[in-house]
Parts: sequence; structure tokens; C-alpha cells
Amino acid sequence: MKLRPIAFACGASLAIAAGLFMMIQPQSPRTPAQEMNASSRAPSSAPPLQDPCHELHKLICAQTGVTRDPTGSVRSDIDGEQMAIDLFSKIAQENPDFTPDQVNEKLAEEIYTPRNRNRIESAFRWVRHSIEKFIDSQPDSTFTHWEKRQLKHRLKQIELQLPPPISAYADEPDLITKNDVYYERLPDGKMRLRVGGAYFFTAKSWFNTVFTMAHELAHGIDPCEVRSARLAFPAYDRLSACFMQQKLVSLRKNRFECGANDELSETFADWVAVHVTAQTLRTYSTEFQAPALINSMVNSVRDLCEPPEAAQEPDGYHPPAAVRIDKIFGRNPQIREVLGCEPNTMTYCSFDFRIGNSKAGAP
Amino acid sequence: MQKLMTFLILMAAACGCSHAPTTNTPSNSNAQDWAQATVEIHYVLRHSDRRLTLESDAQGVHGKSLVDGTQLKQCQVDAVHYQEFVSKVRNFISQRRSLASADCRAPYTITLKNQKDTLQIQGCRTQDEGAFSHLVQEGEFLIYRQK
Repeated sequence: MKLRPIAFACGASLAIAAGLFMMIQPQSPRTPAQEMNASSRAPSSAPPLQDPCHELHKLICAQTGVTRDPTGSVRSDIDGEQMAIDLFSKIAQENPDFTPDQVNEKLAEEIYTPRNRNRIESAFRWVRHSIEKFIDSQPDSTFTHWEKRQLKHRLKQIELQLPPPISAYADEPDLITKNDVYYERLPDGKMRLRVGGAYFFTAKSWFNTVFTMAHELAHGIDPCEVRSARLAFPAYDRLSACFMQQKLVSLRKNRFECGANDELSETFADWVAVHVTAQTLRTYSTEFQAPALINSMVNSVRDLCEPPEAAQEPDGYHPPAAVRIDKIFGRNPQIREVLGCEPNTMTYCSFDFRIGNSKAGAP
Repeated sequence: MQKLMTFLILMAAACGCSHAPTTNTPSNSNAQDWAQATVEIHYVLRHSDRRLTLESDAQGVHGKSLVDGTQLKQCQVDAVHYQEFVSKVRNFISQRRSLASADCRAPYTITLKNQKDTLQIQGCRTQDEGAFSHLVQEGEFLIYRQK
């Protein structure tokens, strides 16, 4: 008879323990795409606003203000330039006798600090190494040993130019207050990459810096630059054919290949930058929780979004932002894997593209 | 003969109308005419469309800087320094010929006008060894140094 209370106590204890265990057991983690969907939802009764696996452009370009990831932030280009101009004004007012060159020199000292320079230089090295690895990873049937050497040689020739001294930008002093980051080949064949001063206010995120550096470095080996160096790679012809078939390059009537109104160079640069960024995101995917990974991804391409006034007037060289973000970025198999999206059913362009081959695959 | 003369006159008129003002067109203005002038510098910097406008009127000199249609700064500018800048712009236009290159990724247009004259030049930023960039720097200095 004394066993009944004991049995009841044991049973109750077991039930309580089981209940506690169920409460503290974590639920199945959501994929980054599910997190993105959840955070974009309005009141819980409303349906999801956008599908990140298919409408990445709408989600990313709806961002306003400052977006943050664990490595830094990104703000709009306009805000970044405004901050550079405010600093310019402050220096000019504190030093009313300064000439324009003196104000510029002081501004460059304040912006191109050792810390800021180091971030760009590190990204430059990281990206160049990533692109070299990407080239080396292509099978011999894609690039011969000689072709790989030519491409890597071009990459090594590109010089990153940063102040100080301010004379580094002596032929372009107004760049200090601008956002622009660009690759340029000079008439004597030298290749350089420059960074406008306002960029340091606009983008502090490592992922944005990686994408931007990768895009500009890729221009050093884009199909038009390679052609200008009198090189010809069959793999490039295949890739270009894929870009056109997938409508990543607009075939306008007034298009001259590698001339006016041709998007081939920019599409290639985006395509390479997406690969490098995907590798970078994958590296951090084991360290970051899903929301941080999403923010990193958003920050990497946020500045591709067009200002509303420009949306109706493409510049003739860059594909529209929706193509760049949804198709070139959003369909990349590694990006989709990071987001937790189902694999893309459409062909993603690669150096081994063959007309009639609709198999999805990694570049 | 009459038809030929008419044809030649019409051809001459057509040739005269089809050209925008060039650097070789002599200016009808003197220094005083340029005291109330408008400078507009419009240029593409690879990914962005930019304008710098400085306008002199009875109320003073007003400067404005825009990128992709959005205003970065607007302010009143010192009149004396503005006149110095107008001289630099006139010299820049007079010393160069317009270049119209379809392949230029960084084209610019500078327009200087008063009540009598309009001077204009088109060029490519990457083909003038930094002269255009220095001019932009001077114009921005006038605007950005203000509060």
C-alpha cells in the first residue's frame, strides 16, 4: 500500500522532466531564406511580401538607411558622399586660407587612414588570390596552362593606387570626394585600380569591399580587355555565348561588342565578383548565424541598386539592377546554397557552356 | 544659275545651323558681360551622372552639386572667387577642341553662358591628363567650402 504514493511521485517527476526537456529542446533551425522571409513579413496575418529565393532584388533594394553585418555597415552612395563633403567643408572652414589642393590633401589624410587603407589592401589581396584560385580550378580542357598563366599575369599587373600621398591622384583630385571605385587601363598599357574617398564612408562591410574589389579586378581580365591584349580564349567565347543566351547581356540594335552600349564587360565582372563573394560568404557561414549571413549577403550587393531617377535610363554598359541581383547573383548555385534555397533549375553560366546544355551546375 | 545660288545658300544655312557652338567661335562678350554668367558642368564618372551648376544673378551667386539627379549641396558662393572661376572655365574652353568619342566612358560637357553668348565644349575625362578633374575640383571647392 505504501508503494502507491511513491509510484505516483515517480510518475509525476518523470512527466515534469519530460515536459521540461521538450521546452528546452531547440526547434529545427530555419534556413537563411526562411529567416529573410520571416523578417520581411508585415503583421503575422499578412502573407510573405517577397520570396528571397526568387525576388532578391526587391528585398535588397527595399533596404534604406544603414544596413549592418558583423564586419561593418553599408549606407546609400548619396549619404556617403554627403559625409565626405561635410568633412571637406569642415576642413575648409577651419583653414580659410587653404587652397583647394591643401584642403584635398588634408581630406585625404583624414579619409585614407592606415586602418582604411589596410582594409582595401587586404580585400585586394584576398580577391586577387580568390580569382587566381578560380582560374586554376578550371580543368585543362577549359583553360590551357598557358591561358591560365596569361590571365594570372594580367591580374598581377593591376596596381592598387591609394593616397597618401595625395599625388597618387594628382590627375584626378576630385576623386577624393567621390564614391567611385574603378579599374582603368592607361594608354601606355598600365593597369590600375582607384578608390574614391567617399567609398570609405559608404561601405565599411568586408563583404561589400570584397564584391567591389572583385568586380573591378575582374575587369582586368574581362572579355574586352583580353581582346584588347590580342588574346583569344575559347572558354571566354563559350561564356559570352551563355550570357547572351541567358539574356544577361542585352542585345540592343545600337550595341557594338566591346564598344558603345555593350554590357559584356560589366556582366563578366559581376559574374566573377559573385563567385568570389559566394566563396567568402561560405567561409563565414560556419561562424555566422542566419540573420548575420543574410545581412552580409545584402551588404555585398546593396550598392548595385539603382537610384529611382536612374531606373528608367540604363547607362548602356551595366545591366539593370534586377538582372545583376536576381539573375547573376541570385541564381549562382553557391549563393542559393548559402541562402538555403532550392537549386536553380536554369543554366548558370560557366566557361564550359554549350548551346543546348541546360544542366544546372557550378561555374 | 539662280537655282544653283539658291541651293548653295540653303546648303550654307544648313551647315551653319547643324553645328553647336565650338571653341573656335569668337565670343561677342567682354569681361563685364561675364560678370553675370552661368556655368554648368555635366559629366559621367563611370557609374554616376553628375552636375555642377553655378549661376550669377542680381541676388548673388548660387552653386549646386547633384549626383544622379539628387542634390548634394546648394549654397551661396563668394562672387569674387566665382569670377576667377569663370575665367578659368573660359580659358579651359578656349584652349580645347570638342571631342565626341562614342567609346568614351567618362564624357563631359561644359557650358558657359551669359545674355549674349553661349560657349560649350564636350570632352572625355580620361583623355586630357587631369585638366577637367582640376576644373571640377575648383568648382566643388567654391561650393563645398561654404557652410
